[in-house]
Parts: sequence; structure tokens; C-alpha cells
Amino acid sequence: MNVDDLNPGMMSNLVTDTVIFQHMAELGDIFGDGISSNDIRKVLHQAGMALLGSLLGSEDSGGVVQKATGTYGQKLVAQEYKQWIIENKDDVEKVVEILQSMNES
Amino acid sequence: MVQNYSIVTKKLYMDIGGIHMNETEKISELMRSVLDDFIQSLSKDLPLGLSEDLPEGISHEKVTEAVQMIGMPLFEPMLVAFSKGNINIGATSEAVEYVDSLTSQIDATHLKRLRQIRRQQALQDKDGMEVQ
Repeated sequence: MNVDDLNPGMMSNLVTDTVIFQHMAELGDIFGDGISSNDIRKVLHQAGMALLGSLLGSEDSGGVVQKATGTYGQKLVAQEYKQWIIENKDDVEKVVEILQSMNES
Repeated sequence: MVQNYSIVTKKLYMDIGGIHMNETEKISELMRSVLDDFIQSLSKDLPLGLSEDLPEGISHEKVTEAVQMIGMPLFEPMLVAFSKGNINIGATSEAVEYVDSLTSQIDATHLKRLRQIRRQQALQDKDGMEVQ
């Protein structure tokens, strides 16, 4: 995976999935036994992306960053998302592997 | 060179135009309030698509609780971007557009003028503080 090939949408998707993966043990405690990690991921991915959109999204969708700083702020935030992916490379790669195996099955 | 001027000018303009918010604590507060608002709306309605399609055994309340837990870690990269002081939440998008429009025509005169304004602003702030 080359981080330079990722667009901002792909980066927020990947960060969301990786954060969920990193907190899976605690999330398992919240949801209890009998719920698959895949179901937890599916639900939280959607909710997490909506949350990111509320801060980072377009002006029309009420994104705080866009409203306050325009595309300039969004570009800087995208740079930090890229940096986060590089710093959490091992976890990100595991997540990509899991997602790929899910797609194949 | 023009690019460098543009970055400096953006920083100067934002310092003048809004409340300077490069303090992690303040930004963190802002993000927490966005998260709180989101959690509040989430506790009433799930995002579109989720409400009809919750897997068996996953309740609306549990989703809200879980989002509360992963919310701030999701914001972490943004927190870093803000805390570097490059983004000033007080600056309006119009201010940023104005600065962007300067990119192609920026020269030393603009920079000098912006520095003057900034110095005046700093002096006024200092006077204000002394009066208090």
C-alpha cells in the first residue's frame, strides 16, 4: 500500500477502520459476547465516518473545519491523516489484510 | 519563493483575522464539543442507512456508547494538525479565500503591510492588557 496513492476519503476510511481495530477489545466489552467483530466494524465504520464528516466535511454538510478554514485547513488535516497512517503502519496493514480477506470470502 | 510567501502570509493573516488557537487544550475542547453534539444527535437518530440495518444484538444505545469511546481517537490526526498552529479556527473561510487570492500576486509590499498590521494589533493588545 502506498500512502501517496490514497485520497482524503480513502484515508479517513482507513483511519476509521484502524481506530476501530485498535479498540476492538474494549468494543467487545461494550457489545458483549455473541456479536462478531465484523458486525461491530460495519456499524461503527458508518457512525465513525458520519462523525468525521461533522467535523471535516463540506460546508454544506456542516463540517466545522471547512466552515472555518476552507480547503486550506482540509489540506493540512489530510496531511496529518497521511502522517497518522505512516506512524500506525503495522496496524493499518493488518486492517487492509483483514478487509481484503473479507472481500475475497 | 512565492509559495513560501503565501504560507507566511496565510499564517500572518490568520493571526490577525481570528482568535489564535494553537493551544491543544482549546482545540481539544472544541473537538469534544463537536463529539458531544454528535453523540447527542446520535442518541436520538442513527445516521441514515444504519437505522434500518443494525445487525442482530446491536442496540442503538450500544452504538452511541461505542462512538463515544472511539470519537476522540478518530479526531487525533486533526488535533495534531490544529495544534501545529497552522490552522486557525477563528479565521473565516472568506479570510482564507482572500489569502489564497493573494498567492498569485504576492510581493514584499503585501508582506510588509501585513507585518505592520500585525505589529499594530500586537501593540493594541498589549495596551489593552496594561489598562486592565
